[in-house]
Amino acid sequence: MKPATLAELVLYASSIRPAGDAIVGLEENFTWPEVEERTRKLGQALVGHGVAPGDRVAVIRPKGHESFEAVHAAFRAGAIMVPIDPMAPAAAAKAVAADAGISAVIGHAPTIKRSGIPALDHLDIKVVLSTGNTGALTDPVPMVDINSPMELSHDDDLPHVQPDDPAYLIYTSGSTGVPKGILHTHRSALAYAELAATEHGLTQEDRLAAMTALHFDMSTLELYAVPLAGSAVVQMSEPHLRFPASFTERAATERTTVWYGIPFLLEQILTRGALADRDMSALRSVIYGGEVFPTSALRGLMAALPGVRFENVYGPAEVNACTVHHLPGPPDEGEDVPVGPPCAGVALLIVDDDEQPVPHGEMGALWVSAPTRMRQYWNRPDLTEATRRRRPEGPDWYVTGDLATRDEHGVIWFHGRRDHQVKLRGIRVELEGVESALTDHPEVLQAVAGPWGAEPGTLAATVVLSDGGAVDIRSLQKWSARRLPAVAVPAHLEVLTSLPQTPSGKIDRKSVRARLAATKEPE
Amino acid sequence: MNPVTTFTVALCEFIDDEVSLDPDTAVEPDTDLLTTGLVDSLGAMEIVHWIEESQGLHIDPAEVTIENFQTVDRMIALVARLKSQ
Repeated sequence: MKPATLAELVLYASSIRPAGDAIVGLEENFTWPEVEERTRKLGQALVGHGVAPGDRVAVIRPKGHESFEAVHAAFRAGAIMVPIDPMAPAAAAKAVAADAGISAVIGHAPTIKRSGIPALDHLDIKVVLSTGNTGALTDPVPMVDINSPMELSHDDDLPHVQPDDPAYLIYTSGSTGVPKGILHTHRSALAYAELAATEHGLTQEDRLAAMTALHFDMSTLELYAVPLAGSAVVQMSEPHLRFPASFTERAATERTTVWYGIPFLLEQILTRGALADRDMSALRSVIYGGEVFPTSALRGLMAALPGVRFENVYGPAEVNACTVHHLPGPPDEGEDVPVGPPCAGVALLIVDDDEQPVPHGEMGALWVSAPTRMRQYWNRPDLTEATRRRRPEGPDWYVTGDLATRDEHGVIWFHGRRDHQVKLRGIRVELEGVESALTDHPEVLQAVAGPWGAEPGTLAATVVLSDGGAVDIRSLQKWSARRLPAVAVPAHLEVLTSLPQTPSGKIDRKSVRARLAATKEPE
Repeated sequence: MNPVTTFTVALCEFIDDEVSLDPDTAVEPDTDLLTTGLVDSLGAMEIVHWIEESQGLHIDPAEVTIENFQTVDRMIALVARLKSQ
C-alpha cells in the first residue's frame, strides 16, 4: 500500500525494494531496509529526548547518508523538519533557527557549533544528535553521538503521524533580510513525490545524481520521490558540485541514470566536466529547473550527451512542481524553451492586472492550484493571505509572482518576475534583502543591487557612502558575507557619490540595475 | 625563499583576499578549502585561472578535481607535475 505520510516513506521503500542500493554514500552504501532501521533508531532517539509531534528539528549537515537519514528520522518522530544550509553564515543560520523555534538539532558537531544555534538562549533545545567530536558544544544541551548505539535510546514508540500534519519548513531569503519559511504537509510533499516519480518515470532501476543542497527546494526529488519509486540516490558532496570533472567521474563510475540540477551547474559540467573522457552510457535523463537554461549551453550539453532525454521543470518551492516540458530535441539557436504543460492534478490560471484571465498568448500573472501546494508561510499570516486568492467557485489559488503566457497548445512559457526577486544559480534572492544588508553597514547610506551581466550567476551592487564615509570594496564584501548566503554576496561593488532619481524623488533602481547588468564585460 | 614557497604564499594570499567566502578563517597551505565551504564553484574557477596565468600553463578540465584542489599544497603538487610533463 502506498504511504500516507513521509514518516512511512522509507518503510515503504524497504518493502518494495528489500535489496540493492538505496543510498550510494560517499563512503559506504546502504539498502532501504538499512536506511529504515537507521532512521527508526534516530527517530526513537528524538522521541526519547522529549521531541514531541510538531516540534521543529533542524538538520544542519553537508550532504551524505546521515543528512538523508536525519530528514526521515525527523518525520518518523512526528517533527517538522527544517533543513539549514551548513555553509550559511552564523547570522543567517541563527535567523532561521530562531524563526522556526528549533527544539532539536541533527548534524555534524563542528558545523552545529559554527552555526551558533545551540547558544541561542531563547530556544529550548532538548537534544543535539551529531557526528564528529560531540564534546565541544554547550553544556546544558544533551549531546548524543549518532554513531554510538549505546547513547541512542531504542525503545521509545514512534508517534502516529497524520497526512495533514505539518512535515517540513523550507526557508528562502525574505525581502527585509528576515528569512521566509514555507510550510509543507505530509500530504502536499507526497503529492509532489507521486507527481515527480510519474512525470520523470522513476523506477527501481534508476540511480539519481542530485546536484542540489539539502536546504534548497530541489532536494525534494531525492528525498521523497526516490524512496517512493524505490530508486537509489548516488550522493554528491558539495565539492563534487564545485568540481564538474569529479562529478562526472563519480556519475559515470556509479552508473547514474538521472541527473537533476540547475542550469548553472549543468553548464559547468559541459565546459569543465571532461565529458569526452567519461562513459555516460547509463544516463537516460537530465532534469533541470530553478532558472532559465541559456540556449547555446543547453544545445551544447544535449550534443555532448546524445540519446539523453532533457526535461525542464518549473515550480516555486511553495508548490514544488507545476509543469514539466520534455524537450523533443535541441532548441534552435536563440529560441526559448517553454516550461511545459501543467502536470496531472495541477491547475494554472494566468490573469491580468484586474485579476481576470487573459486570452491564450497574452502575458499575465501566474496562479497555481495543486495538491502539491504548501499550507502556509510560517508565522506569516499576512504573507499567506497576500499570496492566496479564493474564487466563489473552484479551488484556492497561490499567486506565484511569476509572469507567464499560455500558448494555443496549453504549454506554459515563463517570462520572469513581477517583483525584485532574482534567481542566481537557481536560488531565490530578494534584492531588497541584499540592499538592506549593505545599508546596515555604518558607512553605507544607499545601495542598489542587481544581477551582474546579461546571463548572471552573480550580483553586483552600487553604493553611496555616508558623508565623509570611507570603506574599501573587499571589506564591504566581507561584511556582506557575514550576513548573506554566498550566492547573494555582490561579486562586483562600485561606489558612486549619488544615485539617479525618478521624477518623484525615489532612487531610480531600474536604471541603476540596467547599468549593473551592462557593466560586466563578456568573458 | 625558493620559488615554490613564494608561490605557495602568493596562492594562499590570493585565495584569502579574492576568493574565500569566510572572512574569519585564514587560508594555510593545508587548509581544506572544499569541505569547509571556503571556496564555491565560481571561486574554484578563479583559482584555476589565476594559477594558469601566473604560471603560464594550461590545466586540462579533467585535472580540475577535488583531489587536486582540496588544499593549496595539492594545487602546488599539481602545478609541479604539469610543469615536469
